[in-house]
Amino acid sequence: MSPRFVLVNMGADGPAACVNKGFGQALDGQVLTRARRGDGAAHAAIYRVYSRACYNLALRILGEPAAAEDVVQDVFLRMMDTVAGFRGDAPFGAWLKRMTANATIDVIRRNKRFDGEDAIDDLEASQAPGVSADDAVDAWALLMRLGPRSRAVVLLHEMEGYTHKELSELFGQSESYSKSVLARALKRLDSIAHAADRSGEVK
Amino acid sequence: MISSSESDTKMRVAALLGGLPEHDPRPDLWSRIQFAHQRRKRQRRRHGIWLGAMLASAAVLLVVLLPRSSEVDTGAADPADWQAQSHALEQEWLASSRESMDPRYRTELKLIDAQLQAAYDRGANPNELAPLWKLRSEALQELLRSDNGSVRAVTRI
Repeated sequence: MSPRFVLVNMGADGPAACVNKGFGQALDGQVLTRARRGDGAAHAAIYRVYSRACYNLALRILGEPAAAEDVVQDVFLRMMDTVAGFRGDAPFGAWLKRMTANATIDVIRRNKRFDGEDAIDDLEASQAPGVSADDAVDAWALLMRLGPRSRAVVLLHEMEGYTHKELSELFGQSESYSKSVLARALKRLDSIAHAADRSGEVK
Repeated sequence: MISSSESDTKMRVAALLGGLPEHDPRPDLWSRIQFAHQRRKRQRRRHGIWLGAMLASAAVLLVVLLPRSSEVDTGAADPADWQAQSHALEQEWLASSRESMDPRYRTELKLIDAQLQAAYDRGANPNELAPLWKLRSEALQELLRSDNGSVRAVTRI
C-alpha cells in the first residue's frame, strides 16, 4: 500500500505540498491590514479562507460537529478580538492553527465527556486477529476509535506538524507523555489499518 | 533513529490520515459568529459606560469631599493652638506635684519631645507638627486628670 499523503514532522506551516490548503494558505496582506482595523468584510474573508481547516481539525479531534462549530466560533471571536495585536512573527495560518488547537484542547479539558482514554479500550478490544468484512473501517471510523486526547496527539503531530515539546506544552504534560500516547495510538491504528488493508477495506 | 517497522507504521498511518474526509462547517455558522461578536461588542460598550459612570461618580465624590476634609484638617492642624494648650497644661502640671509622676509617663513625654525636636530640625510643615503638639497636650491632660499623678494610658507613640 503506497501512502497517499505523507505529512510527517512538517514545519509549522506544513510542507510545500500543503501550502495551498488548510492552515497553510497564505493570507492577503491587505486583508490582514483591514482586519487589524476591525473591518468586518476582512474578518469574513479570513473566515472563508480558514474556517474549513479550523472546523476539520476540531471535528477530527472532538468527533462532534456541534462541538467543532463551537470551537470555530470561539476561535474566530478571539481572532476578531486579537488580530489587531497580531505581529506577524509567524504566518497567519499558523497563528490561527495554534488558536484552534488550544481551543480544542480546552474543550477536552473542560468537558468530562471528551476527557478520558476509554476509547483506547474499545480499540484494544477490536484488535482481534484480522478485521472482518462486516467491520468495514474507513479512516474516520478508525480515528474515532481513539480517545480525544490520542486523536489530538496523532492529528497534531502527524498532520499539523506539532513537535512533542509543543504538544507537552499544549497538554500541560511531559514530552514523554505525548510520545507514549502517540506511539500507542499509531501502533493501534496501524494494526487495524494494516489488517483492513490486507482485506482491501480501507477506504 | 526510526526502525523500518516504525517507518512503515508511520507511512501507513499517514496514508490513513490523508484519507480522512474533509467537511465544511454549517453555512450559517459565520452569521452566528458575527451575531455573537456584535453582542459582545454591545456588552463591552455597556460595561464601558457603566465603568465610566462609576469613575465619574467617584471623581465627583472626591471633588466634593476632599475640600471639606481638608477644611476640617486645617482647623485641627494649626500647631500654634496645640502648642499654646500644651504650654498651659505644662505650667499647670509643674505647679502640682511633679515627683509623683509615673516614670513610664516621663518616658512618653520625652519621646514626644524628641519627635517634636526632630520635626522642627527637619523643617516639618504645620500638618506634621500639629499632631505631635496635640499628642503632648493629651499626655499632659491625662497626667492632670489622673489621681495622684499615676497614668491610665501610657503609650501614644
